[in-house]
Formats: sequence, C-alpha cells, structure tokens
Amino acid sequence: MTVDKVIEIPVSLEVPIGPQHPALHEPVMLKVYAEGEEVVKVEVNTGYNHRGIERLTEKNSFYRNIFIVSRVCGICNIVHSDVYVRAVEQVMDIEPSRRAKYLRVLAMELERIHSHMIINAIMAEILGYDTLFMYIMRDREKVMKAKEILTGNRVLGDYLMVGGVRRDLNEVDRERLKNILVKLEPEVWKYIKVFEEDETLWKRLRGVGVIKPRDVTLHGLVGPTARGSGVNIDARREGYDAYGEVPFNIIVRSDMDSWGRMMVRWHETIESISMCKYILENLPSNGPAVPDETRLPRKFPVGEAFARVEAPRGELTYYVMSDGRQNPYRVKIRTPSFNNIINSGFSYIGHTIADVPVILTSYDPCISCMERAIITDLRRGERMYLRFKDLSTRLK
Amino acid sequence: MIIELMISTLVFPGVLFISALSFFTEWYLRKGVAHMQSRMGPTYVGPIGLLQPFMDFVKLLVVKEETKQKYSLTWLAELFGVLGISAIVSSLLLLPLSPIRIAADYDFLIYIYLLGVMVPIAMVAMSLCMSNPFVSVGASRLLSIVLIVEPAFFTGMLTPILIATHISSSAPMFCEEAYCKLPLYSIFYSSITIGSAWSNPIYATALIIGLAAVVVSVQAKAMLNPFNIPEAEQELIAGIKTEFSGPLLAIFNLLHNVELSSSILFIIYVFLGGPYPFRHLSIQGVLVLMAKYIAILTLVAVVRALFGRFRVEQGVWILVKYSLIPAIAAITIVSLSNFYA
Repeated sequence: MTVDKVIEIPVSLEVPIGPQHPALHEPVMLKVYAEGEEVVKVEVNTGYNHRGIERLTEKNSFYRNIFIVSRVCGICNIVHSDVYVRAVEQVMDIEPSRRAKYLRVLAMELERIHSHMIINAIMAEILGYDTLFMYIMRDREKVMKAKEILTGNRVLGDYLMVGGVRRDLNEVDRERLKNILVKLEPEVWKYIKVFEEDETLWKRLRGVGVIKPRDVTLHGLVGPTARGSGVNIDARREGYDAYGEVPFNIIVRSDMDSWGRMMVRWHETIESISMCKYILENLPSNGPAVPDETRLPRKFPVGEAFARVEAPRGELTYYVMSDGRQNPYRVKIRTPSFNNIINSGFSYIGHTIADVPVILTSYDPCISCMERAIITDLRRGERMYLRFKDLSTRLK
Repeated sequence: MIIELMISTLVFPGVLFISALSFFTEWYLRKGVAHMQSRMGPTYVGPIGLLQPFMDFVKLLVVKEETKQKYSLTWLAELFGVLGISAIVSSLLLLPLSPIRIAADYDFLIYIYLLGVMVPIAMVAMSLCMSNPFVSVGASRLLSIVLIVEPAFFTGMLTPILIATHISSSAPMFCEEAYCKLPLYSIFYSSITIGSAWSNPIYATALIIGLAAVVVSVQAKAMLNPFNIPEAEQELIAGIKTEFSGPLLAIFNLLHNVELSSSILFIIYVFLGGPYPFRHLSIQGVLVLMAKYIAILTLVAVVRALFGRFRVEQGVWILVKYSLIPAIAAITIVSLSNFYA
C-alpha cells in the first residue's frame, strides 16, 4: 500500500477560559485554541447564567417589571429601568417633569462613572496591577456614596418610576453630591495619567485587540468599543430625557486597540462628572419629580414602543408591546454586551493567551446582560424563547 | 562535627531558621504591599498577623485535602519539592552565618548548581507531575524566564566575587590575617572581604550596578510583579501551581518563599558584607544584618506593588535590559579595573 496523502494536524493547545476563571467575574466560556502562546481560534460560549428575564416580564405587570428589568444587570441597573420606563411612558402617553428628567440623567451619569471606573479597575487587576485596582476601587466608593445619596442605595437604585423618579433631591444632598464630584475629578485625572504613562499598562494594552472601523460596523459593535475605533455613535445624541439640554461631548478616539477603549471610558468619566455638576447647578424646579403613585393609570392602552439609551457599555434597546392587559405582551431587550461579546471572537486571533482576558475586559463584558436561550425548530422554521424551567423539563 | 552539621542543616541556618525567615518574609511582603495598597494585610493570627503565613502552611499541610487527578504523580511532585528545599538548605552552609562554614576554591559554582539549577528544575518538575493545560503553559513560561534570569542573577553575583578575589590577590592587607588563607572565588571569602571594597569608587559603581541587576532578577526568581508570568492568575488560573493543593501546595509555597529568603540572604552577604562593619556575634552586627535584609525586602515589596504584569516576551526583554546587560556591565567594569590595576 502506498501513501499518497499526508494529513498534518497542527499541535494546538485547548485552553478553557471559563466558565469559572479568575479573569472572569461572571460565567462565560472562551474556548481558546493556541499554538504555543499564539491564539489561533476562540469560541465564545454563553448560557451559564440564563435567567429568563424577558419571559418573566410577560408574567408580571408593567409596574412590577421596573424592578425586574433593573435586575438584568447589577452595575447598569438604572439605565435598564430608564429605557423600560420610557418605553412604557410612550405606550401610556405620559411625560415626566423636567426636574425628573434631569434627575434621571444625573442617576444614569453617576452610574456611567462608577461603571467605567470599575472596568478600568478590573483591567488593572487583569494585568496583575492590583495596587492600581485597589486605588480605583477606593475612589469608586465615592461615586457609590453619591448614588446612595441620590437613590437611597449604593448599587440597585430602583430609582425610576413611570412619570418620574422615586426620590427628589434636597438642597443639602445637592451640596453633598457637588462636594463628592469636586473631590473625584482630580483623582480621575490622576488615573488617566497613570494609564497614559505606566509602562506595564502601555505595553499590555497598546496594539492589543485592534478593531478597525470596518469590523465595528460589520459585527455591530457599540458603545466605547465602537467609539474607541473612531466610530462616532452615541444614543445620547437623540436627546432623550434631559440629554438634549445638558451639554456634553462625545468621546471618540482613533486608537482602535484595548488602550483606546479604556481611554474612551476614562474621558467619558470626566465628561460625566461635568454633566453631573451642570445638572446639580441647573436643576429645574418646575414640576414634581416624584409623581403621585396612586394616580398612575391602572388600565393600559394597546400599543408598542421602542426606546434606546446609551448604557455605559453601549446602546441598550427595549421593545415593549402592550395588548391592553395588565402585563406586557412582549418585552424584547437587546443589550450592548450581547453584540460586543458574542461577535468578538475574531479580535483575539494572532494575539497571545495572555492577551485574551485583556481583550475581553476591554469590551466591558456584562455576561448576565447577554444570556439568551433560543430554540429553533428546523422542521417548522420557528424560533422559541425558553424559560429555565422549560429547559430543564425538556432536558429530562 | 556530625552534631554541628546536623545543627547547621536542621536548625540554624538550616530548615528551621530558613523556614521561619521565609514565613517572616512572606508576612512582610504581604503586609508591606497591603499598606501600599490601602489595605490591612494579615491581621488575624498572632500579633499584627505575624503568624498568618505559618498558620497557612500548617493548614495546607494538616487540614486541607490533597486533590489528585488521574494523570498526577503527587508523591513525585512532593519529592521534587523536598529536593528543591534541600538544595537551598545545603547552599546556606556556604555562608558565614552557618556554624559549619564550607569553603573551597570556586565554591561559587556549587552555589550556582544548588540554587540556579536544582531549584528551577525542582519547580518545573513539580508542576509537570500534575498535568493540566494551564500548568503546561505556566511551565513553558517559567523555563523561558529561568533561561535569562538565572544567568543574570549569577553574573550579577559574580561581581563582588571577582572584586574580593582581586583584593586578596593584589593587596592582602585588605583582609584580616585569619581569612587571607581562605580559598578564592568563594562565597564565604567574598562575604567577609567585600565590605571594604565599597570605599573604592570604581568597585562601588560596579557593585551598585550589579546589585540593581540582582534585585531585578530576584523579583523574577520569586515570580513577583512584574514577572509573575508563570503563575499569572488572571490568565492561567495559577499557572504552574494550578493543580497543587493541600500538603503539595504547602511544600511549593515553602520552596518559593525559602528561595526568596535565601536569595536575599546571599545578596546581603556577598554584596553588602553581611553584618559589615560589625561582627556576627555582636548586637550591632545582628541589627545591621536585619536592617539590610529588611531594606532589600522593602525594595522587592515596592517593585511588587508598583507594577502590573508583563507578557512573557516583554518580561524576558525587560530582564535582558535591566538585569542581564547591567550584570555583564558590572563584571566588565570590574574585569577592566582589575586588568589595568
């Protein structure tokens, strides 16, 4: 027998990063195939944290859903409740007061500050720079305190309600918030300087995970990930809530790498601090910020609404459909991490194993935001969303 | 003689002393880095948490279960760990600290063999006894770093050895009468002679460059930031020690800490003359020795806290740049100075 064909299989190492891994703070699986240290393929596997929230919203009333959607993501809970509430307000044709709109923007921008600070801290930790991590997290506590003053809670604010917000801001608290922001700004500039000048950060982030503007549009990437590659998209430009009245700049950089994405977040933090200061200086006094809950409508019209918001991680959209009953007929959520993480497999190739957690972190992944379970019936061509209970029953 | 040898290897400066010193070293590093990071560090066991590393060791050794997998050779890994610690303990007999002082011509080569060859081999072999993809990557990283760091460390350490040898051959009056008959290129001889060399500006320059090179390489030998590449937690879970648990992890941690402690001890003896300008058996000598140890350890802790982690190829290049090249420069300065003298 003669041999006429030789099949060569390259030696590759399969390194599972996740679903439980020190680089990840939520469960996701990056199956990394490497030749030596060089990554040749990455598979992004999700499904370890599915909670069936979209289905849950269909089983609860419009008002109770505000609390459910704000649990989609712990860090950006206020933007989730804001976009949902705005969609519901569109369906019910309710307009909140100007003061309420300003307070909503204030809460969302405080959330953006602490979200950007935590991901930059995590990036430092991923690079083994735990000293920087500790310092950023220490200063982030100031923002958490500010959020507590405004909403009553450090993390889960549950601040929004249909027609306004749940708590108004008094003069004493307004001054306290101003003081916190004044103290925070120089600290943030200090961290920007560290990110610009530190050798380890510079070496580990520059030129790592380069995404060209073409790839951004091709894979539908959003938020700081897109803006770090020079693509100027920001849902706040629409002017929803009070964004049309509060002046701000959209930060766009052309670095295209992990460092550029982190710098977009730092400069957005500075921009958010300025926005918060402006809001606290120019908070309108016309109209109640907190609506009378007992006078909110109990009957809901038939209709549908689509709303979007610029969450810290990118554009977050909600579609809410009402068929006239107490519960929404459908709530469809599209989170920024869903786009940014699942479509990001291409950006790891050619880099080393050491770069994989760095690139992943530069997208600011929120795993609990992006979990979906879709069953596609190939024979009938139908797609169905499943609850966990149904999934477990079928698996049995 | 045998009793003295037993005391030297098992008690002082052997297993007991170096283990206690390594626990202190770990505590000081943890506490120091914690303070630099606005944290408290160990506080729970002993006064200001001083006994925490010891309790961690006991807990791993006695309480924690040793997890085994199908492809693991735990007993072999433990054997390599013990061999590594034994190599370090044996090397301590070359120091003037030991009641039994072993000194011979070119005993520096023995030191290289014990600390530069046996210990890295023990670490790599230990990790490879417990198969895992993360361990494989970690071991390959460790080998890449060892190939640069060990030559850099020993080239740097050669600087004071060369100086001491030259001093004795050219001007015996530098050394004391009793020591002048001792062998050349020896750790012991160099550590009792080098103190006087710091007054010579050329030697002092070479010694400072060599010391800097050696401190950088100690950072890499101890796998501390920015060279904690083989056990990079966020990339490889725990790298070379991913599969270690229970007593095996205790042995590995002890080996790691003992290596760091002994490296610093050798630096303060060979470069800084140990208790110089005082004698060993004096209170001032002991205090000076402790101060030098703490100073070097603080330097290591500061570098540990100030940096993130490099990639392996970046780490290797940094070691070449800041450790290997300065070490070569230091011995070149000494050699040229000796040649023209």
